[in-house]
Parts: sequence; C-alpha cells; structure tokens
Amino acid sequence: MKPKIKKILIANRGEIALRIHRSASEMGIQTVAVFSDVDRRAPHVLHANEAYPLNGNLSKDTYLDIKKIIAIAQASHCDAIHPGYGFLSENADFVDATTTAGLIFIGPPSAAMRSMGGKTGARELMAKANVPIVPGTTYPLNDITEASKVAKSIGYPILIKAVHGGGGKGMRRVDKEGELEQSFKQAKSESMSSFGSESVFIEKYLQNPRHIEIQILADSHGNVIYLGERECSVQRRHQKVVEECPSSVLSPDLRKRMGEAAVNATRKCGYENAGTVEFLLDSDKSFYFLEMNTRLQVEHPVTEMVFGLDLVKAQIRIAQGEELSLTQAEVVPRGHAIECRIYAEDPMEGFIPSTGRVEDYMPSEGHGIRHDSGIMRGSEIAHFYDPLLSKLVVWGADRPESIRKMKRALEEFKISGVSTTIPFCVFVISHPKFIEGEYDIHFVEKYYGPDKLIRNEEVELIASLAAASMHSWDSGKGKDMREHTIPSGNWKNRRFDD
Amino acid sequence: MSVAAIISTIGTRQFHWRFDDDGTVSLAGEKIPVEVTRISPNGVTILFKGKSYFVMVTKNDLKYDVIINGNLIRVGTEDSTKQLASKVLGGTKRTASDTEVRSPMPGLVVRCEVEEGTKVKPGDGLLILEAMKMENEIRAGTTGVVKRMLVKERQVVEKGELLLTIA
Repeated sequence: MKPKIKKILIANRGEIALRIHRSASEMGIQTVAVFSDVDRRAPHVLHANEAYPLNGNLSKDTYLDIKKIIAIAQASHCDAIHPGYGFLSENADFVDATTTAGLIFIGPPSAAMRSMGGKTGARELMAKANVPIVPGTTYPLNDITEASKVAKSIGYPILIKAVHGGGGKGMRRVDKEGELEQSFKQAKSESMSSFGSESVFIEKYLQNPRHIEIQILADSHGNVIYLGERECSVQRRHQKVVEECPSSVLSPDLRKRMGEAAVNATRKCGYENAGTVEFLLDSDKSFYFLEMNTRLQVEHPVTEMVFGLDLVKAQIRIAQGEELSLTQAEVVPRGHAIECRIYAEDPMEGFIPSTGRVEDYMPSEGHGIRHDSGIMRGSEIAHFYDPLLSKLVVWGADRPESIRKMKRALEEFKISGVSTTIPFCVFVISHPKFIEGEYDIHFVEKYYGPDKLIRNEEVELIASLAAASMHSWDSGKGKDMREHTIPSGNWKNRRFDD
Repeated sequence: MSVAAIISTIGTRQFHWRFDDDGTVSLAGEKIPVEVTRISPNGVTILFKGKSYFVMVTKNDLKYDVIINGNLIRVGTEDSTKQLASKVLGGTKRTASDTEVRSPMPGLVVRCEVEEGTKVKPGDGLLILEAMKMENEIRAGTTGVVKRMLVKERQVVEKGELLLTIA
C-alpha cells in the first residue's frame, strides 16, 4: 500500500484548479497553486493553501513549463501533482518527469497515455481489442495514390485527419475523388504547422453522428468500471458547449455494450485512473471508437451529479493505490444532469473571444444547481488562455425537469463586463430539437445564427430603455450620475407618478 | 430643467426616449409608467406596468449589450439633443472618408492577408488575429483598396486598435 497523499500541486488554473482544490481539501489534503502574472488574484490562487508564481503569462512560460512546475512541487514538499485538463494533462513526458522527481502523478501511467496519444496507434489497438472503429486506416498515409485507393475502397465522403491532431485542426472532409489531392496536401501542411507532424490518416465520414462518451474508472488492482455516458453532440468549432447525462437515445442494452467496449479499451492499454472513451454513434445506432481522453474531462460534473460520486476524490484514491470503492453492479444512475459551459465569447459575432473586467457577477443559485467557476467580480479576462469562465450544472429528477431548471438557471445568471455564451445556451436549451432529444453533432451549424437569439417586442422595449438610461448616466446627465456607487443611494429613480 | 433625449436602435427599430429631471420618462413623446434604478456597476432594475426586470447593461464598443433573462439584445444609442444641435450647425454631414478597421479584441497578429494597395470586397480576409488559443479572421466589411496597413505580423494589438484603413 502506497502512503497517503498529504499535499498536491495543482498544475492548472481557472475553474478546474479550484474544483480539484475543493475535493483535496475535503480529504484533508493540502493544496499548492501555481499562477501566471495575470492570475495572481484568481480564485484558484486565493483559495489554495499555498501559491507560487510561475513568472510570465504565455502558456509555454507558465502552465506548460514542466521544469518550473516540478521545481515548485519539490520545494513546497508536495507528494503528488494533479494536472487537471488541457495544459500538461496529456503530456506523457510530464508524467515521466513527475514520477522521476519522486512524485505521484494523479492520472494514468505514461505508457497508457502514449499508446492512446496517436490516433492511428489507438485505432490499431482498439481493432485488436474488438472495439469497433470508424472504417479507415490504422496507419498513417504518405502518398496520394495510396490515399486514393483507401478512399475508394471505403467510399466517399471521407475524413482526412491528423494522427496527432485535435480540435478540428488538420482535418478535412472530402466528398469526391477530385477534391482528394488538394485536401490531402492541405491537411498535411496544417497538421505540420499545428502539431509538428504531417502524419494523416483516412476514415469514413459519418453523416449525422452523435458524440457519446463513456466515463471509466480503473484502479491499480485490475478493477475497471464504467459510469454511464455523456451526450456531447452540441458543439461549435468541434468544441463541446452543452453536455448531458444520460443521453436520450441510449437503450439499456446499447449503454451496456458501449460501456463494456470502453472497459475493454481501458484494459487493453493498461490504463489506471479516470478516463473517457469517446464514441461516434451513427444514426443506425452502430457505434465506433473515436479516441480516449486520458484525463479528467471538462464535462465530468454531469456524471458526478447522476452517479452521486466525486471523480477527483476517486482519482486521488486510485493514485494512492486504493481499490475502487464500488463494483459495476453498485453503479446506479439517478435523475438527469446538464452542463452549460460559460465561455467569454460573443455569440453574435461568430463566438470571437471577449476580454475585459467582470463588473457584476451573480451566478445562479438554488435547488439542484452546481456552479464550478474560476472567476469572481473584478476578474480581468485576459487573452492568454482558454475562454472558459465557468460551468453551470443542474440536476433534475428527469430530463424535462433538468431542462427547465437549466433554463431558469441561465435566466438568473447575472454577469456584466464581458460577453458570454449564456444567451447561446438559452437558445440551445429552448430549441425544440434539443427538447425532443433529436440532435446530432451538426446541431449548432444547422440551427444557430445570431438572428436566432430569442427576443420579442417587450424584451426589445425594455432593452432599449435600459441602454438609453445607461447612456444618459454614462454621459453624466442628471444628478450624481457619474459615481459607481453601490448600493443605489445615489442613483436616480426615474418614476412616473400616475 | 435638464433633460436627456436618447435614441436607442435595435436592428431597424428605433426608440426615442426622453428623461426629464422630475423623473418623467417618455417614449416618442408619450409618458411611460416606469421606474429605472441602477443598483450595481452595470445592473439595472426596471419596473414596467408591475413587471420586474433585472437587466445587465454592458458597454460594448459603441453599443450596449443588454441581457434580459439570458437573452442578449445589442442596442445602439445616440444622444438626440446633441444630434439636433449639430444638425442646426451643419456638423453631422459625413464627408466620404476612409473606413477604419479596428481590432475587435486584444491579441496577436498571426498573418496579414493583404497589403497596402490590395483590392478588397466585403467578406475578404484581411488578417488573422490569435486570442485565447484561437485564430480569428478579420474580414473586410466594405469594398475598396487597403490604403494604410498599420500592423505587421507577430505584433500584439489592443482592443480597438486601428489595424488598417480601406479607401
């Protein structure tokens, strides 16, 4: 039995760093935060037990700097590092550096991470484990003649994908042979510039798939369980925005088959700790392995709400050598959960990032609401990092209740100073196709446009009045209008006494 | 007695508001039974015919972003008292001038897609700006020729900074 972890360095920022701190703290574990210059006053720094500067702002000088982070962990006498998601979380060299320094990495072994890191290698491994993969190659393609042969044999449309890719970069859809050569070249060069490797492969393009992923937990004693699925088909720019658990389309039998396939995949690569196996579910209900995320997922809270457990605590217990506390038979879902990601982006201008200072901040509260946030009033939203501000999660007894609760929570959420995706989330949650559960990964491109944001005569009238009032105050008209005093004492009441 | 007259524009709809110092609010010359109170930096509570609205109003460049119950309405405003005055003085007549393209966000210029002298039409890419790990293309909104190019590749720009002009 490994000794218990006493102090964890959290190699991340924002909501996930705070979320990890909370679980560690409840387990009596001390936390060490690290921060870049602009993050000095961030909540993840304010709440940690200790905090040390990384000096600089660019990711590569701060949250991606392996040497600095390991040195801080050693100097502050940590015994473990939690990487969160993003940044170094899927960097096998970081795992090795952590263990070489005599620290526990709260995540999978580097070998498992490497075998799932390259897409073709992972596909080959999965094919061997009898986990269905999207038809296509399990090896990189170098020349166009070979690519053309493969494309013809699986049939157009096809996708060219970067072996080391992600986030839609180095990915091209090809509808007919004539477009292949050009797209093949473009995908290779994009892959080279984004991922430093021009390896690409080909797979069949599925027309209207859903993105369904299975959460797994694996301990170091050979126990592996799956904790249901997450439906993540609402995406823009290949990035998830709204997720739910359970999915409205999985039958108990299909859930079992996908869960067991995920467990197979996990065992095959010698995985330990929490992980996620992503699948595409075709309209005919066949499912195909997409990739494995060897870390905690952004959307993990929906699983926690439905299964009543804490995945970060489970990760820490696994990392210190404990056996899983429950068996597959004891895994029981309850109710339904939805997560909306609140990004600092402008939903009316093609989701361009929005920066600025958070002036008002009153997140939703009340029954069934969980809010994982990385910001507070006064936070400066800088352009250095991912624009995720917080995650709003709700739990309801069933899907309709959870949808109504999310709508209420989004309406109640007050934030000013930066643009956010809240109005876009209101659009999604109110859309008939979402309410019916009838949607796939094309939902956003098919149904969303800035003109679709909800409005009506009365809302416009009130908005025009609010803006006109603010304009008059901003320009200093009337009495005492320039001071930003709270509460309202100095603010003028404009009343029509009739 | 001071007065503020503000025209709010939402799409093609215009609202002519007038705020008198005695607290009277009028819309297009008609008194409206409404109470508007600012209760936080950008938070405004409005009581209108008994209905209560808690609204966030954030200045976004030259417009105001108003959030009501999770809905976003982008509202343009102008001071019509001023407009009236300048009309009298003949000051609002716009002379044909160069179109300025400003950065919608702080970030890094990754690539310039045009140079001085390049002909552009609406929708043409001008340059690529990287912010928050994402590349964003700045596109032309007008037809013309790039007259002045004020930034170069790898340059860091601030929100609102002049990038180039189109004549």
